[in-house]
Amino acid sequence: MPDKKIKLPIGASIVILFSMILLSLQLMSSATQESSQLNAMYSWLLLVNILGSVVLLGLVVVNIYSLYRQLKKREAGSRLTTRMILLFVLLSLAPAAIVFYFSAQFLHQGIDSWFNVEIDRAMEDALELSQASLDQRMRWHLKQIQQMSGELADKSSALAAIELEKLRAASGASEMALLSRNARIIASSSVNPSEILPSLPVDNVWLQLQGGNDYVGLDSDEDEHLVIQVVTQVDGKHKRYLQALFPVPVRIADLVDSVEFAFVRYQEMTFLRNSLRLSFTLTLSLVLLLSLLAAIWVAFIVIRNIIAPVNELVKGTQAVAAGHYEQQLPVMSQDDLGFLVESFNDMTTRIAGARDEARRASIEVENQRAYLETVLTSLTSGVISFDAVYNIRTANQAANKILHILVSKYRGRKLYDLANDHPELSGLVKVIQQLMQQAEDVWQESVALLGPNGRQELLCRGTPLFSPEGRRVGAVVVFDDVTELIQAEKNAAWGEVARRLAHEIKNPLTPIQLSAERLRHKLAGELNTESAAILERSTQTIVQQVEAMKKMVDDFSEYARPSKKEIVAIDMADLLQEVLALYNLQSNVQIKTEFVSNLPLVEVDPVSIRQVMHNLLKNALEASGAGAVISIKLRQVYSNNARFIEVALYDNGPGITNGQLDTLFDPYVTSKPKGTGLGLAIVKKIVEDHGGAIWVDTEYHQGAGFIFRLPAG
Amino acid sequence: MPVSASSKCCWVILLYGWLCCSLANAYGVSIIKASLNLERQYYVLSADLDYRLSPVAKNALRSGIPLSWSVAVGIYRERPWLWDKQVHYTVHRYRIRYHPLMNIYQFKDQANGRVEKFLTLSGALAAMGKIRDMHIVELHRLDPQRSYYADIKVSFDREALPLPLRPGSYVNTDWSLSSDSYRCPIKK
Repeated sequence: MPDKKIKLPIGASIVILFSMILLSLQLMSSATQESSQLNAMYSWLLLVNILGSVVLLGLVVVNIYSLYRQLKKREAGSRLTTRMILLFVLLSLAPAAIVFYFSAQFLHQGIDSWFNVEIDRAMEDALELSQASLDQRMRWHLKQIQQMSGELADKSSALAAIELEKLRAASGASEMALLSRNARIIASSSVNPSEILPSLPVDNVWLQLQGGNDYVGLDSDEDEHLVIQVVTQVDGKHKRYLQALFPVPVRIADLVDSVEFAFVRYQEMTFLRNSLRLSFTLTLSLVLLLSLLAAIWVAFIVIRNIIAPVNELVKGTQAVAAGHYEQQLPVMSQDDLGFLVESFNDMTTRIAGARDEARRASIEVENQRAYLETVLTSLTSGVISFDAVYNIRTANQAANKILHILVSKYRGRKLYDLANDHPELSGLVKVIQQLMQQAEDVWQESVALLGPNGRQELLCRGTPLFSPEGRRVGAVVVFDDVTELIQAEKNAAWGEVARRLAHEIKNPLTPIQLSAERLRHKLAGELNTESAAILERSTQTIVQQVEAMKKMVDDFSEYARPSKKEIVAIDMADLLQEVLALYNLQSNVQIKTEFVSNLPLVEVDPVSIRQVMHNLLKNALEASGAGAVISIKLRQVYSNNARFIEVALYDNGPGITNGQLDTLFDPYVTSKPKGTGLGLAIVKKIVEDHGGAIWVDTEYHQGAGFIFRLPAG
Repeated sequence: MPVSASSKCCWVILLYGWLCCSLANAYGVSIIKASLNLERQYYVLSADLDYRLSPVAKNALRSGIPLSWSVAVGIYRERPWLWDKQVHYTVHRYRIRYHPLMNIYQFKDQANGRVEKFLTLSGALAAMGKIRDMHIVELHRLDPQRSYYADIKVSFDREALPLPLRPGSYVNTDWSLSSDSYRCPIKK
């Protein structure tokens, strides 16, 4: 099960955030009230709010930076987010700034209005009035005590105490004490009998007294009530001091306290005037800053949430544009954007379905095409297809093989380009091009051309290709190399001729020969010598010519007779050695052999193959004459995925001219005076009957060279 | 080589900083001498402090704003491998205020409620700066086998200032009226 973070809804998060901010600001506002218990926490609250502002500022800065990076990368939705954020900030900042400005103005003016010169002077005057009132009372008490002090001069402690009690009661003092010069209490009297020890003058007072001056001043008692302290010197032998404490009437004390409190308060406020301004401005700024930063941060979150489906849609659209049709987007809300996302999902589902269908169809077409190509490739007929303007579109392997060039290299080009590079094909190209352009239906034409292996007969068939609308969209030409077929037909015809000749000619030859011999026998004794000699020569000539004709007819018969082979597996090298052993005995012949060892066996009729070798060797010996050097090579070759045993025979005779090449293996073609012209024709027939092939090695120029191949077992 | 405006500006800022530091050092509290002595099973503190108020602080005082300090004394036990351990901590608070009606300065020891009045500020500050026989810790609370010392610090209480003054007092050197820590050994 995937981990899922528990996330508060955005609305709840925002409400909590603003509640916390409001609470913090409210606490800070409460703390500004002096009576509040939060007053002592003002600095902490201020710090917390400043830290909150810094945190919010950090969050806003991080969001701005993130947005800047998104803008730089041109991410989807970044520009829309920026616009919305800017709009929101402008809309919130403008009224907030106006409110802030006027609030600050109002605040400063309000604070300034608390202070003016008249109030300042009034406060000072009030204080001075209080001081003057108390001063008058103090001077009166001083004068009163100075007059009373004379009555205590040089009195003993006991008398002084009694006198002091009277004086205190008479003067209205709350406490009266007679002190020695070293601050020792000589006698004292108090309105409160429980107070045994009177309060003593402080050091400052003593300093003043020691200077010879009386002292009068305000002080406060233990209960914080104002008292007037008077200390005066008592004349006499011993230096004494009389101290009296007069309570200030409650009403006057309250008024004086009130004036002093107001004065101090006013002085304090005057001193704090700038600080107050700063403090209120700071609080106001903090409120504005916190609110604005929180609003901007929340704006980032809310706008991102609003833009999120749009972002997803943009990303989805980009993915679809890039070919990812299976793209599905999460439906985050059931509003208009949610409906749009659902529509997008439907669309991508349908596109993906269509894509899959098209892909399947494409694969099917591709399979069909591959199958067709395989069929075409496997065809032994050459096939070339053309487009509407007769550019070559396709060509199969057989076309390359028959024409001995790589036709597929000319794909997209004209047939004439092919003819330009290969002039020997110009005749074929001309015919095909002409027929393709003119023919409205299937056409057929035989074309001869001179290929690298000699004359080739091609049977070409072509047909124009039409679209379903009947428009000509191209053509296809199929051609076969029928050279061998024609040659076979020719050979068959020659065989039939030979058979008929043998039948028609050989039958009368025996009676002719017998008749000539009978004539010679009957007439030899009846004729004179001269006539008998003529008869003898004539009959001899007839017999010889008949014999020659018989041999010729036998040769014809041999050529025309269907072969009766006894196939056995033989080692070709052994067979060649046997044949060559007969020729090695001749002193004027030098035979060189070059046999590869361990060759596979060949399944042939040994008699026929011996005849092949005899015919070739005989031809070579006759062509080379005395000093003949015959070279025979035996090896194994691979061709068209099959093994062949190849025998090559070379002589040092005059060789074969180019003119003889075309008809060399035809019957009755000979360059020898007494030849029948059937030797090589028989050789070729035997080799081909064994599934082999024979040809002239045109690369060999020191004489004649023949190569024949037989399939290896 | 001409001096650029930015380098001039840097010099001005440095000079201002130096001046601020110097002035900051001129105000505050200096602990001239302090000692903890054993008297009748108690370690008592005797110290001479020198309070120097900035003009702003004096003006505030004259405007009726009371100023408060706390004398904090921490007793630490020395430990060779770890940081020293605080075994006792005590704070004495003092407040000084001006009474315009009587034109006197009143100094109050918050711990025992002792109030003294002075006609001059210097007299009040001098009295406040003379600490004598302040009870710190009982003898039995300290292990005689171990070594102790006292860390004394006089801190100006900004939080006792009126609210509008507080934020500014943390950044304004005129209100840096505290002392550095003063370490004194405890005599056994």
